[in-house]
Amino acid sequence: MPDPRPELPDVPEVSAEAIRAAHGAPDAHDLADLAEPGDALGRFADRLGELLGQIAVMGLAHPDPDLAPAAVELIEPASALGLGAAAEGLAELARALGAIRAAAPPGRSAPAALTRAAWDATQRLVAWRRLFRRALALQRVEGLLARDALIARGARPPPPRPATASARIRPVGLALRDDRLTLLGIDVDRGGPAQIRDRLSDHDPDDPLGGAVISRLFQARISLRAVLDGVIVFEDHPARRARGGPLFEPDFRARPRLLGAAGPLSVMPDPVADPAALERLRRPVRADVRVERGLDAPTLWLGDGEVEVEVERTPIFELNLIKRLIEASGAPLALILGPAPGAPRVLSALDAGRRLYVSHDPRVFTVPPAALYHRLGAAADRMGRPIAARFVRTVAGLFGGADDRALGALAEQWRGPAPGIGRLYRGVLAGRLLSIVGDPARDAAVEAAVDDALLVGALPAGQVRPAALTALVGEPTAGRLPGRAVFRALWLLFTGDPGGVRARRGALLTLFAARYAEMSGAPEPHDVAARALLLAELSREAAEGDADAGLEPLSPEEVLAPAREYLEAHLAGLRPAPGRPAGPLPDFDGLWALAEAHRLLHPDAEPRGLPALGLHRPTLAAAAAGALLDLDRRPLRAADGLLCAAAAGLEGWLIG
Amino acid sequence: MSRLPHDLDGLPKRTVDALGRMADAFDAIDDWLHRMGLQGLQRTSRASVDALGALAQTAHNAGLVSIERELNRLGTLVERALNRDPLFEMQAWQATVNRIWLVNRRARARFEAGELPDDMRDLIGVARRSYAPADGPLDLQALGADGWVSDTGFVGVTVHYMAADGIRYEAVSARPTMHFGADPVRLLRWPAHDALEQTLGELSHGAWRFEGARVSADRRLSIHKALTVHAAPYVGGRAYDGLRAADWRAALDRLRDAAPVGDRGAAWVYVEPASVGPVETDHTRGRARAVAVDGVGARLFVEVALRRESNLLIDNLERMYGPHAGDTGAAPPCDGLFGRLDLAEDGLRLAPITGVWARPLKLARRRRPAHHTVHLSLESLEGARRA
Repeated sequence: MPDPRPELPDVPEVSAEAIRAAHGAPDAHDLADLAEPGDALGRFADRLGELLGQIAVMGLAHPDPDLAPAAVELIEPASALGLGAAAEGLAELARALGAIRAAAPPGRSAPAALTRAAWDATQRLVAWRRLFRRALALQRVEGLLARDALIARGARPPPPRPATASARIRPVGLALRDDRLTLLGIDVDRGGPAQIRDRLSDHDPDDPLGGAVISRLFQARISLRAVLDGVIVFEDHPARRARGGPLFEPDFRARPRLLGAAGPLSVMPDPVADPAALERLRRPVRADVRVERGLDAPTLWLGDGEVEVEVERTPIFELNLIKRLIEASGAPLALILGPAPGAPRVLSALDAGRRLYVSHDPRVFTVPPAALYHRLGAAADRMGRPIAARFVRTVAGLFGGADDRALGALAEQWRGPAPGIGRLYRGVLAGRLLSIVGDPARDAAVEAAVDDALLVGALPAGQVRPAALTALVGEPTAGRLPGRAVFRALWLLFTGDPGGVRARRGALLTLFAARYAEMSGAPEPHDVAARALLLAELSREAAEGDADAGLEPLSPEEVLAPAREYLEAHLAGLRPAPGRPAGPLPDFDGLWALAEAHRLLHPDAEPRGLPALGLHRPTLAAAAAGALLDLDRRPLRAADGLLCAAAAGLEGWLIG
Repeated sequence: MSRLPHDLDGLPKRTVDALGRMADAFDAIDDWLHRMGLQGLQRTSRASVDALGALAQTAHNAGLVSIERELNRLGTLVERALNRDPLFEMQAWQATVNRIWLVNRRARARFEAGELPDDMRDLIGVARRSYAPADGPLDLQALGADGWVSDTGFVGVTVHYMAADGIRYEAVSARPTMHFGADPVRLLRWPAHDALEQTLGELSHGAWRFEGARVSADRRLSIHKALTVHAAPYVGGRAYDGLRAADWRAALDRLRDAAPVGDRGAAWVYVEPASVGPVETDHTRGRARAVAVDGVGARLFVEVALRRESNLLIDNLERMYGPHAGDTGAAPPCDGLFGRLDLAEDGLRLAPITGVWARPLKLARRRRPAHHTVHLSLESLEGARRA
């Protein structure tokens, strides 16, 4: 809104001067006087307001005979108060009103020039008064405040504030449930226990230490790993007492500071030898445990004895125990356990002088790449199936840190055809992993095998000789072409030349009608993936439109929708949902098939494939770790597991 | 076009036409003001309202946006005067007329000095804000939010944010009352934009990172399709530091700094009263008031105009401060108030929009988590308790 000052340049100065002239440099008592309603400046402003109000209501066409004298009457007090601009304005207004009255007796209108002059004089005074009122009101309010303070005589006690504490806390343990984080620590100066509670957001619940999180306590984006490695300094922070020490929580006004990485902590709880002591923990204790393989999951044994230790197991803790078994060191693990409603909570672990947050950090106990390369390579050497062994060596080379020369040599081995859908599939997959481009001999073999598979796949069981079926699949097979082989043939077709797909539409339709038109029960993952791919392709044909019939072609999204919905319905059962745990994962080959179908059906989405399936990552990583644990017996499964984990972005959880 | 004082060579025809319309509009507005000054408020009639509407259209066509808005406001005031509405204020009438007179004169002076419309945007206003992309993501913490219903037929919610650099931003969601009713509370439950997953209610609490933000010159955020919003670190009470007035003397200084001139001068402040007295309703003056006392005993009026959309706000003040503070549904008084400060005839007046609690408050009627803030015109404190 416009500032009236340029219109009336002297007004604010005059107003302020007038106020100062009336009150000098006011002290609190003077200001209090100014607050009185009988103040002369206020009275003047009110009288001027009444005059201008009358003009606004009655208009200037035929001004009341009392208006001009009323304006003249105000000139003197204005001058007396030092309000020169007001006095001049009033004089101008009085002259203008008088001129109108002289020129416009009743029944006649005054010339426009006269009424315009009066109108402008009125508006200038209105603007002046707006400024003056504002200045006066500010001064008056200051006076009112001073008067209030005089009456109140002195300060009121500030409202009570919560009890505060200062401490430097070194975290030794961590518990995280949903977004609620509890850090257990030791007061660096007093040596006693301390607790810190926080609320996290924007964090990865499966890997909270893997990146930055938003902390309500620190009121900032922080690295939880840096917090756990540092010292947290609280200064006059609201605190309560809990479990024999201070409890700090996020506060509206205060926040702690974080000091950089602290050295190793000398204070450590004594180990417990009596398992009964773990049943009713009141403070953190240390339990030295052995990790051994169990029937379903790794088990923990206290010390060297035969007493199994029950602790609260998070999915990440389960994963870490499996990885600990892969290490096969046999060394005991010192667990720092804290009280929890059920079994003791694993706050942290000590291993070779390092503090590990085994319940929430999926990156502990990783397999070194060199060890992985060596063990997978050795297992491959013992395999009887050369193509499968070569695939295991390829995965070992890729994730085990093999140099370019070794990978180049592997790539050379994959060139050329190999008989059977399974071997061709492994060859093409390895070729993609090793970035092999162009292999005409193999491409021709792939085309022939795909044609055979599409033909044979549509035939009912018993119509193909087992020998022919075995030759097509690449391993002993009887009955009907397995879903695994059908998917692999489709994958080879769909990831190859798109023209090849169009040329085989008839065969695809036959395959769909004979095998996938109606599926009941719980289909295998390969069949689900194959049916989704066929649905997508056949929908495409149906959606091309017909100009003669006036049918518009469907958009790519509409074309792919039925296949995506079908695949999605099957994937939903694998994902965790509120109140429902994730379903059991299929074998890695089946999982890979579902992921590849998802990737092919979402060509423009990001992420797509395995990371987009929404699987419970700790479960997937644990399955891959379990496969690595068994790699001597089933090396191909270990390689497939590693491939799936890496595709899901979990390589760092297993290898490092 | 020789009546135009501008050098028209090289000017596009569109600009020349606009200059012509502007020159005509200055005369029309000046003439109307003069006529209105001659006849006075007592002779205004329904025809005056229609004439004001036509004049506002003339101002609109001439690009005199700020005058157009004032003329619309004047139309509302005339309606109130004709209807003998107790909300009619003579001073508001005089001030609005005076603002139109001032802007028209000032704009005409600059026009006659050869300025083009684009040079005068600061004075004549812009019809639609232009939004420019922010330099990067904006981390903003919600300070408060208020619901409103405008005389022009819109219902809306304004959310006030504070950035780390102490700059205050606003985001506004407005809908026509004709289709959406006159209850701003409903807007809180809807997504701030179809493309956003967060509701306006969620965005009015806590801290958020706005990526792809577009901001106007007066720091208004555009809520548009390409905007993405994620959680950002909550900085608690520090967000209010730049607006905090330790006592009412400091609040007065903020008012002086924020609005040295003009009767509509107001300042956004955050205050923590030492105590607040019970709410008193004055139907004669159309207001509800509570006296807030600072640490030295000075008084400030927490004041709300008695309007339909203020009912919840007044109920909330009564739940905190009485006279029903001890009754069922009473709520713990807030530690601080965020609102707009201006001058009343008898002191400082704070129009509160949001209460701030150092310990988060859980609202009874919502499932959402506890917050440190409650927007008093939009969220009920009935049954609220400390988390």
